[in-house]
Amino acid sequence: MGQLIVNGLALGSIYALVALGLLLIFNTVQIVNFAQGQLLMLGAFIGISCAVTHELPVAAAWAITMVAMALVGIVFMVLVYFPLRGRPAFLVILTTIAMGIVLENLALIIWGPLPVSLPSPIHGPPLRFAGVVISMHQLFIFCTLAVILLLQFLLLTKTRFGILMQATAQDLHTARLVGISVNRTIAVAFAFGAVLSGIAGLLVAPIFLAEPTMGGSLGLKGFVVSVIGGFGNLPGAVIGGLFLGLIETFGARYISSNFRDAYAFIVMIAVLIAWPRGLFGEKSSEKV
Amino acid sequence: MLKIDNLHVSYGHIEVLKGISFSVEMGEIVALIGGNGAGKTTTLSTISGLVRPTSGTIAWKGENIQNAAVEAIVGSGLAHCPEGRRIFPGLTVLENLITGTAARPQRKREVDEDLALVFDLFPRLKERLKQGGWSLSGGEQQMLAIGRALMGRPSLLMLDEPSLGLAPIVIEQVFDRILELNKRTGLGVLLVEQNSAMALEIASRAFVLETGVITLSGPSAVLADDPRIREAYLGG
Repeated sequence: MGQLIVNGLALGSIYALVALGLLLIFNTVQIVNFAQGQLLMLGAFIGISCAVTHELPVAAAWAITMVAMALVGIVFMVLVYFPLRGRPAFLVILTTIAMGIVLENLALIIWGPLPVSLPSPIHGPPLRFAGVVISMHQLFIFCTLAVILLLQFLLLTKTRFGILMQATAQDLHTARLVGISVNRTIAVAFAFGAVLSGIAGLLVAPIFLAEPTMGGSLGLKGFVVSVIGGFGNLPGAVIGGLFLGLIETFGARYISSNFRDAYAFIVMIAVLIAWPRGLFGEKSSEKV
Repeated sequence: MLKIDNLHVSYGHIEVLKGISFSVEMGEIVALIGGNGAGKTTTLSTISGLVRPTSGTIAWKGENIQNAAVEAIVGSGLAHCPEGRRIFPGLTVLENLITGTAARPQRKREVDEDLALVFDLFPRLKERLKQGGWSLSGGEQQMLAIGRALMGRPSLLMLDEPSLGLAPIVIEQVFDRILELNKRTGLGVLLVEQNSAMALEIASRAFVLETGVITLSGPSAVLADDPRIREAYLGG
């Protein structure tokens, strides 16, 4: 039981990271990026290229992956968002889906279809606590999520640039009018969103193997988790992510592991029937 | 200082500004009055670069800015305080003021000086420093919107309908502050108003805009006595 909770929370932390990246972009430009899962896959493979193929230390592979993903995020913005800004949102959303397919096939060409593994950045004997085993990698996942939440909070609320990012997210038109370089704040949102996905990929690859098609279901679960948490709400997305991790782990253990990927959608539908705006959704339709 | 020459603006096939020309000198308060749909807000949006003109020029401090980026225009000292105030609701009063510094050089001492100036003009904002923008009253929001524009250290402030939806006593306060600011710092003001009586009271000159054309212009005192203005805008 305790073991299932730990495993569920570790899995859920990864969903939470995908959702945070998704929402960072959504809150800024009101576009749901359905290629978020493929960005995760890309992060995992860049890490594998560095750590496995080129035998760099795993910490260096992490650093390179994060820088590379920031660039990928900016290129993504230039290719997908920029040419279509001001057009109906569904056009941009469709383009993100197309971009996801392109990324998946690109990965297939570069890295091939075979699953590969990435070592965890830290090693050591697992912690044992009242019969529950917590692996070093699980501990690392929890710490990473905590650090990212803290950094994101500090960036958005304590720095001048974070305030400008929030202003851009709240009212793009007025943000331009008061003189904010909105292209810069939007680029940072895309870069940061891609880095968060990349980190999720680096964290997933040591548990499950990395393969070019791994992004599809993870990206969708990041979306599901955001919906459960009340779309746009960052703490809600984290709680939604942890919640889904637990449901999946317990479902696989006590109901059936064949339906593992279906639980996410069953839970989402159930939550939306009970709370149409998600667990922590805003009560009014007004954007605050 | 600001010189608009033969400015045309269209939204699709509809021409909103049909070749308007006017200028605002250093330290001057100029009012642009006119009814709904006359093109007043479009004029301001075009000057600040949010809308591109189809033809005509906008010269600001001797340079043509009709194709410049919004942040460059704001950074060069031309602030736009929008209609409906458009406070960032999820940011505090202080954070809203900080957004106003986005396009200016970040010298801490100067920013602090300007914050002190804003708090001196609007002490209410200092009391509400940590409060969310959404929680302010209409008058406080207007003060904050003006304060935010001032944080860009402008030499010309464009105010779009500052009196909209405010109680008469609050309107009086806001206009008093604008006048004081103009006297103290030599700030130029381009005031767009439907409240023509109030606008003519504080402006030295005024222009009347009707469906995209400037139909009347002159010193405020003369316009305030003009029978056409009295009839159409001052309630007889």
